[in-house]
Amino acid sequence: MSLTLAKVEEIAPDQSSLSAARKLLNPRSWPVIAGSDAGLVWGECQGSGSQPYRVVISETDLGYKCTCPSRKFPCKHALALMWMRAEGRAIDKQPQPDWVNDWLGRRRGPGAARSAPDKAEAKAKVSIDAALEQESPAPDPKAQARAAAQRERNRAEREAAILAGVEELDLWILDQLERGLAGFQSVAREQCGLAARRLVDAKASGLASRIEQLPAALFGLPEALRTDFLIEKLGELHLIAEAYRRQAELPEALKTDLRLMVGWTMTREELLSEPQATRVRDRWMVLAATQEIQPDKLRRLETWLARLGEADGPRFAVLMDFVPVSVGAVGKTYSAGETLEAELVFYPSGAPLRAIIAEQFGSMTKEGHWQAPPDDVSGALDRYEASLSTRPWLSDWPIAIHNAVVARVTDGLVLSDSKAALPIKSKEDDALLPLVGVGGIDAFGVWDGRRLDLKFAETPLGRWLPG
Amino acid sequence: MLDAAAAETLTRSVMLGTARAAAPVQKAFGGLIAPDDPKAALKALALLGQHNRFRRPAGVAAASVESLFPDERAIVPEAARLLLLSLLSGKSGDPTDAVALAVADAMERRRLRLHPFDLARLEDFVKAHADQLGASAVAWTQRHATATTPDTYSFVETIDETNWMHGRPAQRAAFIRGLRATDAAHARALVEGVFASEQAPVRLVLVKALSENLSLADQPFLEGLAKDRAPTVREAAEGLLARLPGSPQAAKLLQECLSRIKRVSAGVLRRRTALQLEYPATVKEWQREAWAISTFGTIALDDFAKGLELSIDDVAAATAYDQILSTVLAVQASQSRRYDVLARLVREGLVYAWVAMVQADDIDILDPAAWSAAAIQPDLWREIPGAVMRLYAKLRAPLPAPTAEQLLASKAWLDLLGLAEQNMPDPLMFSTIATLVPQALRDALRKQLAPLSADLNARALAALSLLDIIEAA
Repeated sequence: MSLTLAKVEEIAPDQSSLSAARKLLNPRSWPVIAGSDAGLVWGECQGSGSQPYRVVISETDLGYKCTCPSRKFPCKHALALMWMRAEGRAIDKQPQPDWVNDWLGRRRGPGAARSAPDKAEAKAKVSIDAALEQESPAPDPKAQARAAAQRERNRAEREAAILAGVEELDLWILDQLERGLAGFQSVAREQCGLAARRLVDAKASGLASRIEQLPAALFGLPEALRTDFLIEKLGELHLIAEAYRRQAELPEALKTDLRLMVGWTMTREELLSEPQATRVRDRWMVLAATQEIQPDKLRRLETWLARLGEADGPRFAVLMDFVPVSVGAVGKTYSAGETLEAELVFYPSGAPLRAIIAEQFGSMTKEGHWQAPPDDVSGALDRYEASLSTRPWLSDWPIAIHNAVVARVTDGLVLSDSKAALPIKSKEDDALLPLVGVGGIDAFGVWDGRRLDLKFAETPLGRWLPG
Repeated sequence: MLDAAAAETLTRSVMLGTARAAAPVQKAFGGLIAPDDPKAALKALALLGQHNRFRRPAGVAAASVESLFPDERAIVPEAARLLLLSLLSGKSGDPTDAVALAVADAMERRRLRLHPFDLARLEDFVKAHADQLGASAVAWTQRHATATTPDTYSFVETIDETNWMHGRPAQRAAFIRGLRATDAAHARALVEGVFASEQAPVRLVLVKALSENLSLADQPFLEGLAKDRAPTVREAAEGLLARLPGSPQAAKLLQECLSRIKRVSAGVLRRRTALQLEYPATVKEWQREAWAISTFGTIALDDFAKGLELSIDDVAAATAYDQILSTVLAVQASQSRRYDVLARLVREGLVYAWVAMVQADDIDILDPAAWSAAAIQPDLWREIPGAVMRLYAKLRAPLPAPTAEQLLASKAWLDLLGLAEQNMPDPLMFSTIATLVPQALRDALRKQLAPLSADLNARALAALSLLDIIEAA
C-alpha cells in the first residue's frame, strides 16, 4: 500500500490533529528522518519536551508508533510523517535503528494496526485541504492588551499568594520544631500532605511537590540517616522560603532557578530565548534513562547526559520530562550508551544541570566509550560542594569518579579510591554485587548528599548498567 | 562557626522539640542570628542543615575489595552475552528448557562462566544450572546465605580424590559415577568413608551414583543401608539391590514380576506362546505403563529371560502381543546395556519405546550415544512425538551424528516443517531439535528452519548461534 493524502485524511482522528500535523511539515522540526526499503519511515521530531519524540510509520499497513504522550491515535507527529511521505518528500535510506527494530518486534501485526471501519466512518469528516486553509485570525491589538493586562494581574495575584504560602510554610516548620522532629516520622505523611495542599492553594506547586515527596524519601532511608535528612530538608524549605522573600537580592540565574523550583514555569520557547541560559553544543552520551512516578501522579522521565567533547560548559546535563501516569507506560526514548551531537540549553541556575535539546545534529549512534573526568572521590566531592555553595537547595547531583573500585563495608557498599569513599545506595536486585572488587572503573552516579545511586560504569570487564 | 558540640546540642534540641529544649542559637552562632528574631529557630535549622550537608562521608578503613564471585573460568565471549540474555533471561522463553540445559552443559564442557554483570539478569537460569555454570554462579545463588542457613558445599572446579568431599552434591555424584566406571570398589570405599557424616540429600545422591557398574561386591554396603535414618536413602539402596543380579532382592523382584505374567496362546494359523502382564487392582489403566516400567524395568534382561525359561529372542516374540510388556522389555534391554536387543525391538515395532523411557523419572540412560543409536530411529516415525521436547533433558548430550542426520531427513520431521505455518506446533519442538543436533549438522538445520516464521524459529536459530559461539570459544 502506498501512502496517499487521502489515506492520511482517513486515518487522522480529527481535524485539529491534521492542522497540528501541518505545522510539523517544516523539515527543521525533524532533526532525523529516514526510511528503509521495507516501507518503514522514522524520524525524531522536536516537541515541547526536552527530548525529541521518536516516530515510526509503516507505509505498507499504516502502522505507527510515537513516543509522545498524546492520547490521539495517530498523533500529530505520526500524521506529519505520513503526510510528508504522501507528498513524496525525499527520505534517505538508512539501516533501521534499534528502537525501530524493537517496535517491529513487539507489534501485533498489520491487522491490529488498522482502525475499525465503523469508527473511521463515525468520526467527523477531516480533510487536508481544510488544514491547509486554516489561517490564524488577524491579531486584535485591544484584545492583546487586555490579555496582557489580565496575565499581569494573574501574575501579581500568584506572587502574593506564594508569598503568603511561604510565610505559612515557615509557621508549619516552626510548629514541627516546637513539637520536635523525633516524633515527626509518625505524622510525616499526614503533616506533609497538609502542608502540600496549602502550598498548592498558594499556587506554589513546586514547593508542594517537594514536601509531598518528603515522607517517601524519608522512609526510604536507613534509620540512622533519617535525623540528618529531616534537619536538612526542613531547613532547606525555610531557606527556599526566605530566598523567595528576598529574591530581588539574588543573582539573576539563581533567582530564576528559585522561581522555577517554587512553581513558576518556563516554556521551551521562553528558555530558548532566555539570554542568561547556558548553551553548549557538543557530543553527549546517555549515561542513564530513568522513570519514576511522583506522588502527584506524574511520571518523571530523566535522561542523564555526559559531555564527551571539549566544549566549555557543564559536563553533565539532565533532560526531564513529565508525563501523566494515566497515559500509561512510556517507552524509553534514549538508552544508556547512545551518543548524539546536540546543542543543549540549560535552565538558568547557580549550578546548571537541567537542560533541553535545542537542536540535534544527525542521528543517535551507539559507539563510544565514556571516560570519567580525572576526579577522585575527594575531587568529585569538591565539585559537589562548589555547586552546593552556589545553589544551596541542590538535591541530586551527578558525580563521576575515575579509576575507582566498589568495596564492601559492614553496612553495604562504597565507591572508593585509596583515600575516600562514597556510600552506595543499595539495590534490591543485587546487580551491584558483581562490581565489588573490579578495579579501575569509571563510575557515574547521582549523589543525594548521603548516598550515591550508581547508574553507569565503564569497567575492565565492560560496561555495567543497573539491572 | 558551628563546632561539633554546638551542632550536636542543636540537633538534640530540634529532635526533642524547641518547646521542651530551647535551641541554643546564640551560643551556636554567636551574633549571626539576632536573639529576638522570631524566626531564629528556623534560621538555626537551615544553617544546621547546610552545615551537615558539607560533612563528608567516613573513610574506607574497613572496606574489602575481594570479589564476591571469584571464578577461575574464562568469561563467555562478548558475542554470546546478548544471545544469553535474549534466550535465558526469562523474557522470551523458559530459562530451564532444553536450550538452557544445552547451554549450561556446553559452558561446563568449555569451562566458561557467565559475565558477572549478567548474573542478576539471568537469575532463574543461574539458579537452575549453577552446578554447570561454575564457582561464580554457585556463589551468586548463595549470596543471601546467612550464618543460620549456611551452604556448606563449595564449587570445585577440578574435582579429584583430594577435594571431592568438599564439592557440590551433584559434582560429588558425578565424580563417584565416573570413578565407578574404572574402579568401582575404590569409589564405593570413598563413599563409605564419608557416608555417616553426610546429610540425607547428599547420602541419597551418593547411593544413586553407585548404580554405575553395580556388582555383588556392593551388596554388603547396600544392605547396611537398610538401617539408614532417611527413608529415601533406604529406598534407593533397596532399588539398587533389586537390580543386583544374584541378590535376594533381585530374586524377589523377579519372582514378583514372573507371578504377574500370564502365558497364553496367540495366533490363528500358527499358535504361539504370548505373554501378558497382569496388574494390581489399584493401578488404573492409564497408570499401567509407568507402573510396569518403574517396577520391572530394572530387572536384568538375562534374568528375566531365564526366569521365563525362554531365549531373549523368544521373549521378544512372546511379548509382542502386550505393548506394555514389550516396552518393559525394551527398558530392561536399555538398563542391561543390551542395545542390540533394544534396536531390534524398535525396528520390529516399538518405534516409540524411547518416549516411555524419556518420561520415566527413575530410568537413567546409561550410555546416551549407544542408547540413542538404538532407540531413536526417526525413519520409522509417523510424526515427531511431543516427548522429543524432553529428550535433551534425558540425554544431556546431542544425538550421535548418524541419528541426527536420520532425524533431519525423516519424513516426520520434514512433514512437521512443511506444515508448521499451518499447524503452529510448539516452538519448543524446534529449539529442542536445535539442542539435539551436533555441531556438524547445525548449518543443515539452520537451512531447514530458515523458511519458518520468527514465532517458530527464533529461539531455535538463536540457540544454534549461541551453542556455536560457546563451543568455538
